[in-house]
Amino acid sequence: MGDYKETIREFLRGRQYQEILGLLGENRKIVRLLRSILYDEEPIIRWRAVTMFGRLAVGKPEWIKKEVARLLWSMNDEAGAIGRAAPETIGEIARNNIHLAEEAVKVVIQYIRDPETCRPPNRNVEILTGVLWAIGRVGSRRLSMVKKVMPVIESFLEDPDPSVRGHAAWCLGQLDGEDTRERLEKLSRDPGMTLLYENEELRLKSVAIIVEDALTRCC
Amino acid sequence: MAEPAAPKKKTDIGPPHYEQFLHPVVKKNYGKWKYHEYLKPGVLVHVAESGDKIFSVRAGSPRLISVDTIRLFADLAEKYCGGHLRFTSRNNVEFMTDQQKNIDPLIKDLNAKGYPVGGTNNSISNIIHTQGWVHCHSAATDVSGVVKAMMDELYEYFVEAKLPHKLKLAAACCLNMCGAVHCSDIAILGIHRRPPKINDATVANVCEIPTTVSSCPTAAIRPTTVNGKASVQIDEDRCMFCANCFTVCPAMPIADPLNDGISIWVGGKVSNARTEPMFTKLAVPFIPNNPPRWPEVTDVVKNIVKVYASDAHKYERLGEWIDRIGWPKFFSMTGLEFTKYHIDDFKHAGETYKRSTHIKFQ
Amino acid sequence: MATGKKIDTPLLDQLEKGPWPSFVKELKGMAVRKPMIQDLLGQLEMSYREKRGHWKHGGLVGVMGYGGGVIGRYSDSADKFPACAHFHTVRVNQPSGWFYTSKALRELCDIWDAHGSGMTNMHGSTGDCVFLGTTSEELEPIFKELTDKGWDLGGSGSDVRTPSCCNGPARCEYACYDTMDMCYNITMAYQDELHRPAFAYKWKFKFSGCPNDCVASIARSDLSVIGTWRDDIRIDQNAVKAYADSGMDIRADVIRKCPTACMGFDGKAIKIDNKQCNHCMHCINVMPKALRPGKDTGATILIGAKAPIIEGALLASVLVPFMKLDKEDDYQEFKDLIAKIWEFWDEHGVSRERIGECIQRVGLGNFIEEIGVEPIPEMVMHPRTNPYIFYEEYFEEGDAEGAEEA
Repeated sequence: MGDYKETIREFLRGRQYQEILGLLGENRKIVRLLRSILYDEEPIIRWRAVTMFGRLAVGKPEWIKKEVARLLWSMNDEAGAIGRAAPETIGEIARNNIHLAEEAVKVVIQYIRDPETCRPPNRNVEILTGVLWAIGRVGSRRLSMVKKVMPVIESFLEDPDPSVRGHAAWCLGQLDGEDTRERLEKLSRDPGMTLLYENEELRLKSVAIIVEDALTRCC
Repeated sequence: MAEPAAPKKKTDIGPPHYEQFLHPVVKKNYGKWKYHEYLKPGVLVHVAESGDKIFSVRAGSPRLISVDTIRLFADLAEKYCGGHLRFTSRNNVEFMTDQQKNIDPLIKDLNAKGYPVGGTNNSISNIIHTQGWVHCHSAATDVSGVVKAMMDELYEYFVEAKLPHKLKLAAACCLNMCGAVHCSDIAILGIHRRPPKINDATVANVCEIPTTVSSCPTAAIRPTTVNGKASVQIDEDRCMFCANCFTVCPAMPIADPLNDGISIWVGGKVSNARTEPMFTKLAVPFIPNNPPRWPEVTDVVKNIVKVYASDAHKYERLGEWIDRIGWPKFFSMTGLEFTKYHIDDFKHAGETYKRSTHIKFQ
Repeated sequence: MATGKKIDTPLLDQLEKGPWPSFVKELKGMAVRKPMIQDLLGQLEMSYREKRGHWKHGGLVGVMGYGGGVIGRYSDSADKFPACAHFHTVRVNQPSGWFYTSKALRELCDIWDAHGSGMTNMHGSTGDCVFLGTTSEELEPIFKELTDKGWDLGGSGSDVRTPSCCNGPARCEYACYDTMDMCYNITMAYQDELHRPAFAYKWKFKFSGCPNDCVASIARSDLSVIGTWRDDIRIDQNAVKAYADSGMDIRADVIRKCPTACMGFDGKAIKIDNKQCNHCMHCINVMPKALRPGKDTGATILIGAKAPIIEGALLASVLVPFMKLDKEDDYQEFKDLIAKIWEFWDEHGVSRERIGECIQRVGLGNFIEEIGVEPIPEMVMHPRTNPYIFYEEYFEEGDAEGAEEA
């Protein structure tokens, strides 16, 4: 199975999602390999695996039904696992097929308030930006699910870390916020840089550019 | 997941290969050992087909040890063993030397530093235990303290080999039972006696409610609404305080200083020697936590050991001894109370009821 | 991160008395130079006073590229004990059989002393060397220094946990296969599965060299490999005589204690009806100079042990009564079996279900059918006693006489 993992990684690199599906004759064994790839060292490969899970949520929902519980457990696993990419993956699945992940994504959304990972002073930037990304993905289709946490997201616009500011700005751009224009505009000259995964590409962008895109989108 | 490209890390290299750590005599005779003998408590000799000998000196350790203690062990290993030592599966330390003359000075040095030598053959060889209040979020008791108190009382059985057979003890601070509590001769288990306290305000934020509901082995949990927020409720009659729900839902903690405590189990074994492996069975359902030394627990355990030592035949494990004399005799000889709690009521409980007339009258 | 003020610990002080080595003494030794442990002692004393722990549930921390190996731990009393607010654990994969040199141990101590609390478990329940207590910022530096010196993290979470083994042929004459080599081989073969949790729940391998099972393999591992032999026990009758001359009561201690009554002793020589021997090791344990396992050695493979949560504790049950373990062949037969089992578990397992519980739910008969293993009597204590059989084969009306339809 390890050899297939390499092949899947290269397919993900090339955005060849159909080929992944065809790899083992539409066999759900690929799901375990994708799960493992969520821990991959290469960021673009991890992100494309997130996208692949989102696609499977539509194309093969019966494969993904059990996945969501496993992903959520990896975030809550007190026996020492870090649910890397779990928030993003749950967000992407929820965005594409809400029936598979409605309860789970609610937990992910509330994570933005979690004192150990997302709030100062202990916040884990990786998890925090992942949660912001997930909120943006599911919230752009279902604003009602995320409305309550919008003030919390806005508070991250003032975070010292540019990737947090950038993801918060991007996230707000995905949501149809009435009052966000003013707060976003404050960052329209912010030179801080962050990697952002958008349209299946991972690009280094300045917070200013992200804000510009966000303003065009939402307001 | 936003970070700049990092230099390629070394990962997936696995542990260092053991061969580099083996004593030269061990390496030379790898797979070619002939027999072993116990020279005295804590001292083993293994004799190879070539005639070479390797001596192992076993010392007790509290498992929770500092780097300074490890460095001390390293010093002793260098002084007497060419730097070679190992740890055992029961958390003792073993110094390996091919020089018989080094054994007594090594034992003297170990004892001087407070580390007893023993734990071999028909002895108590240290108590396997878990993290307790030192490090665990789900602990119903602190096993480091209980273990220290018990080993102080049972010390003579570590430094001397005078029991009918090996006696393996274990202690776990909750039902997750990290370690082999379910298969030890005598085991201590931390338990809860009240249901979790549900934090209705945060359940929906941190827990997936369907998963929480399905995590309960007795279906005691139901979804509900409290002050307009989704939450869960527990049917107390069905709750057996296993804390599995807390493991999946942090918003329902179960720790309760008033009611948490310790249960004692006996009669398990892991090995296949003579009889098949067996689970431990309940001896005492509840003793309140009494830190720092839990005297009630140590008294009960010491008594069980004494009765076993005085009555069992040679080579009889504790569980085998009880099987021979029967559970009624075990309870009367140890003076332990038999209660309703001792009778199984979980799945397949009926298989444990006595369905014959094979009864010994006292 | 400060305070580390000295706090009185009257309850814990009582655990420094007595002959057994004291963990409190270990902690206090470290507290002298580590504020983190000073505060830990304070928090532990509070726990002893209040009879409750003070650690929060969970904590998402780790090193980049891995999904486990680090257990996050946060204090719920950081206001009182700020120095142990973060108290994460790092699992370091131990060498097979827990063999070390002083140099290796010093390496680990130096890394840990520089980046953490200085407290360890030698070892954790699974087998790893446990570094107990550090902060999030130190995790990557610790990992880098470990790997630079040739060490790696162990497993945690829903992955393959760090395998462990008895000392096997390194020191024990009973070893029926090379437990040390197999443990190392399997650890290396499944590094990906060990570091990147992708299973329904945890998976444990444990390797014991003989049925004495010194690593509690049958009680604690999903996949238990216990050494055994198929041919005759080797007897040195001169050594038997020597035991008798030295006063051993061979008839009482050995012959009459044989569980299958397959042994005899006429005062001069031991006889064994090896076809009736169930390889329990008792006689060998009592007379190691005179009796040894046979030479046609291998292992019994058992599956499905686990602790009580949630359906009850299980011991592993026989899956393959005898498998030759060929290190020349890279244990390929064993690995093929593992691949099939994991495929089944992936298909049928649900989140937080060990393979043992999965098999209970699906049925052992269905499980072995799906992984392509034939049913044999060695797998059960006895055949079923209940007559509720899910027949899958039956006839239909109009079949030719004597024909069977599957």
